[in-house]
Amino acid sequence: MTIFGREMILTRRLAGSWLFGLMFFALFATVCAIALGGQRAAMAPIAAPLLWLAMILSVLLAAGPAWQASMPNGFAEQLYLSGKSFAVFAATKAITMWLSIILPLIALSYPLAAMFGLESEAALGTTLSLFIGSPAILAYAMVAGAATLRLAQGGVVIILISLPLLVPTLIFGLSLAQSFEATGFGKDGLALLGISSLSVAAAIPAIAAILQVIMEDG
Amino acid sequence: MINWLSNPKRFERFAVPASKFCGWLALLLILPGLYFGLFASPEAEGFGHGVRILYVHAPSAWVAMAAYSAIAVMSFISFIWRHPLADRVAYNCAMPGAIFTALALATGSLWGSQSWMTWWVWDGRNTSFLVLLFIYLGYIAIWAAMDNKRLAARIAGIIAMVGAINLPIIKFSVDWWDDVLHQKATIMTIDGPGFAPSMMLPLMLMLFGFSFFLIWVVMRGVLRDIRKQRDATARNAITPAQATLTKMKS
Repeated sequence: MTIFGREMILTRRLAGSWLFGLMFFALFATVCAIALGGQRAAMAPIAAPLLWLAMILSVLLAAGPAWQASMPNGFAEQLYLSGKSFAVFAATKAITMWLSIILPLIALSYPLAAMFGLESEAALGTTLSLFIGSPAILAYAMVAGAATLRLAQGGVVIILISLPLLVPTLIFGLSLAQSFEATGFGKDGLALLGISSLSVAAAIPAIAAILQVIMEDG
Repeated sequence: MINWLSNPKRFERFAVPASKFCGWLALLLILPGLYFGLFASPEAEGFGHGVRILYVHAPSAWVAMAAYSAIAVMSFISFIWRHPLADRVAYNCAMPGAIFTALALATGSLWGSQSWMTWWVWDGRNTSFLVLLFIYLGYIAIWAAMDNKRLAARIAGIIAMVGAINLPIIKFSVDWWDDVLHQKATIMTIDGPGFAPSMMLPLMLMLFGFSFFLIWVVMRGVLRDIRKQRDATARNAITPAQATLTKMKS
């Protein structure tokens, strides 16, 4: 609970993480709409892909600062000395980052989808796909963010590492977003749920291992 | 075997002759492979002479995947047993692996321009290989970005293992994406006319030749790293007092 409280306060205070991510999300969507000419009928078919890209990029941008803030020099050692497991810390941090960074983005994605000309059912499908896919996005963003903790300019490396790993999430997420109106949750939703669970299951131990490594060699 | 080879001295004693052997063997396999591939094999039905690209294309793709598997296995070994040499092997696999991935993509594109009349299609195989190339580049980027090489080795290893878990999922998802979202064009496949032995021979020669070439390149890289490390240790071992003495003597 103490770690949870600390992380919650840290991420909430850090506008560079969640607020900038939110602003980037809205700005990216706006600029895309302007670039596409603003015709809602023309924009509707690519609304879901654009929102997915906006979501992935916002989370990747936010992941670096969020890690930098919560892991000052010596924090890994303190954590180790106080007998906390790195895996529990990683899971707690994932939950706080999901609550403070991703939840606002998901809340914003429904009105944005509507502004892009999606009907309410399709907009709901897009939002739902982002909701279910977001743990996977966060998982790889966090792995990459932890891996670049000791780098001064980690931002580009975060994107280089995590974007290829996010290909399956993107594919299944968009497939759910586009089929939701016709077939409901269905197989695509289950596939996306599976990808999300797998990514989290792979990422939490990897993050714990990276923190251990940083404590020993960093 | 792994523990025996993890000693740099023993590895060097093994790898100096072994790398020479692999290098010459690669040459001995690739040269006849080139001859049979370019001159002594038939044109394939529907492909014409373009089929000869296959003898470079398929082995490159195979070696690219083998190199990533080697990186993943070596990262695992390094993570569990902390053998620094396993890190060096993984590191030295990355660049050749990336180059062979790019070569497979480039030759595939050349071949496609002949037989599909287009340089690039976003089909499952092309796309997943492009993603593999980016995964290689990300792995190399971690090594390049970090000054602390011990930290870089271990973090790159963890990322390589996460990537290895992901590769089958990526492959599956991209194939699925290709099947469901794309109307399949009528693409000629190799399975059609069957595989003649005269084509199998150069293919196998090149396959093994490329594999031994990869082993040769990786072993030479590891040997170079061992020597570099030894020279660095030797330089640091000369204390300031000794350095002054050597200077006075000369």
